[in-house]
Amino acid sequence: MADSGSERSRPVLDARAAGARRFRDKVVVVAGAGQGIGRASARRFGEEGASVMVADIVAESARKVAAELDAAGVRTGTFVGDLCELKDCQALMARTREVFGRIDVLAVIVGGTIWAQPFQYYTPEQIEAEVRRSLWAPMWLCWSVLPYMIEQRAGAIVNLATSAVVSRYRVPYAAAKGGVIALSTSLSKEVARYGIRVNVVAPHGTDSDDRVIPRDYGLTIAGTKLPAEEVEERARYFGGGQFGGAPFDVGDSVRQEVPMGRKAEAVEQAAAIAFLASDDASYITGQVLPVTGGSTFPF
Amino acid sequence: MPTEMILDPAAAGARRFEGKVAIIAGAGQGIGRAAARRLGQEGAAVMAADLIEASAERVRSELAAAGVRAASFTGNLSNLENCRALMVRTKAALGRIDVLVNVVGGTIWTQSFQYYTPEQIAAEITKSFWPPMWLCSAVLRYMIEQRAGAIVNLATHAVASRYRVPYAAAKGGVIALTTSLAKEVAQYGIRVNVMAPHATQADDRVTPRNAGVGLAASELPPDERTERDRFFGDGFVGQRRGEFIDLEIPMKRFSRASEQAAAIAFLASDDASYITGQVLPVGGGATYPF
Repeated sequence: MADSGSERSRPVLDARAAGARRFRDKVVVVAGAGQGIGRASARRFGEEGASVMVADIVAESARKVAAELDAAGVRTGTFVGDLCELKDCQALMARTREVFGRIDVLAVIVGGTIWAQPFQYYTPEQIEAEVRRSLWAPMWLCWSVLPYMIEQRAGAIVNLATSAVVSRYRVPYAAAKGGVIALSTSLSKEVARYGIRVNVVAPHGTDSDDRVIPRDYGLTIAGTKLPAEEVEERARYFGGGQFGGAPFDVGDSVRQEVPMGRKAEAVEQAAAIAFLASDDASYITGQVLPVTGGSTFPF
Repeated sequence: MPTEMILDPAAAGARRFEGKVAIIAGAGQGIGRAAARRLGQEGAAVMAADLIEASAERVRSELAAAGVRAASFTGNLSNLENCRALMVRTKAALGRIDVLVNVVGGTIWTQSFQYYTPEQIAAEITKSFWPPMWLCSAVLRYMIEQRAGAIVNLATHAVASRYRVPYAAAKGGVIALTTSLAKEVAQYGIRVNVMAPHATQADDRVTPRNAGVGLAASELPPDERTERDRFFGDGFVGQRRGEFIDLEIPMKRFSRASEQAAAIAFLASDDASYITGQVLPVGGGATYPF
């Protein structure tokens, strides 16, 4: 191996990389890097040699992930802001360029359903909040990064979709992510000529042991009071965790939808994100890669 | 591995297949050879299987020269007995079977459907549909016994293109073989996926598309021939660029076999441990219908 002894003795951020350094000298922005899939992606990119801009809405989360990467010898920067806002997205790109000199990869993890309930129980305010978080963040981030990548005549964007597009209890979030898929597929055809690739990873239920920020962080909108039988059914569907199912139960969502019969680990999603962001995917653009334990994905 | 013997620099130092045994069916040239080199580069022991003995041996020896544990197998993988023999041989030579990559296949002729003879159609199905079917069938007992394994089949963007209907139909079948098999064998820890390439440059092609087929090509009317040749250009490495590149591929270029191999390696590796039953198009941005 060409790696120096000091690199070999650094803490391992993601053993799955198996020694790969596909992002050596690359600059990666991970939007929503504070926990879960975003944090796992930041660790994988860092493990493979990238300089990583850790962006999150929560300052403490961003700092914690940056510190983990720093300790492993990764060049890092942090950015704290609300990436549903265009001006924050533009500031993120300007800051990254200033700190690292370029932007090779944008991984858009920010997003995720805030509530889970049948559509009729969503209030109009809740629906708007879901779309703001899960559609507008990728829209503004892609739009903000384009001038940099077009100027470079190179770049790779990975957006996140979700198996929720063919599932239940998250209609507004599903609709937002359907929009993200179309954003990616149509944008990819426009920017192929500039050497920019745009792809989507579509996860199914993923364990985030490190979730510390609640789904409704920063929102003042109240949750809906659901009838008891809805609450029960939902708990059966999602299993153990935040929606109150039996502890350690994978839930009907996995039993009914996932042939592998288990949830994903965040590092499994990060591995797919890293693949699409890397030169290993140099002939892949405008595609949706389902990381779903075998469940059928409709796009 | 000595650094001067790099089989595939795209691996960037990765050793995801350390201690694993991979069969590449159709390893003699093109995408198959590139896949054998990539998996070898990442630490796999490789069984290079091909219809043509000299091709299989060439790949085996280039892997061996780079320090990869490698063996070769020669046989027609459209026949079940040969597929079974390949698995027995691999188990005997390398001890287990972690990965099966089915690259064997590929269109023999290119022409509008009405010019295909029934014998030609049968030959296309024999070459592109039956090998993945028999290879998957033959490998399953080993992978079920191990409670682990990864299979990567090849499809093609021809399913949404022209002049290769029988080949396209065969590969459509391979996709459905994969997606339905994936759901059955997830319980055994076996993953089955498809990589769907578009126009790939195979500078190393030495075996003709009709090797061992023994059927004559159709006589095409001049206008049909002209139109087809405009579509494909003068071959995948020629001077005259085929129309289909501009019509179908946003990146407007051919792929290199190593780019297809990178996607195969991803799906075969633990990086894809939560991915099964999926089709990964490697088509320069072309819209894929599955």
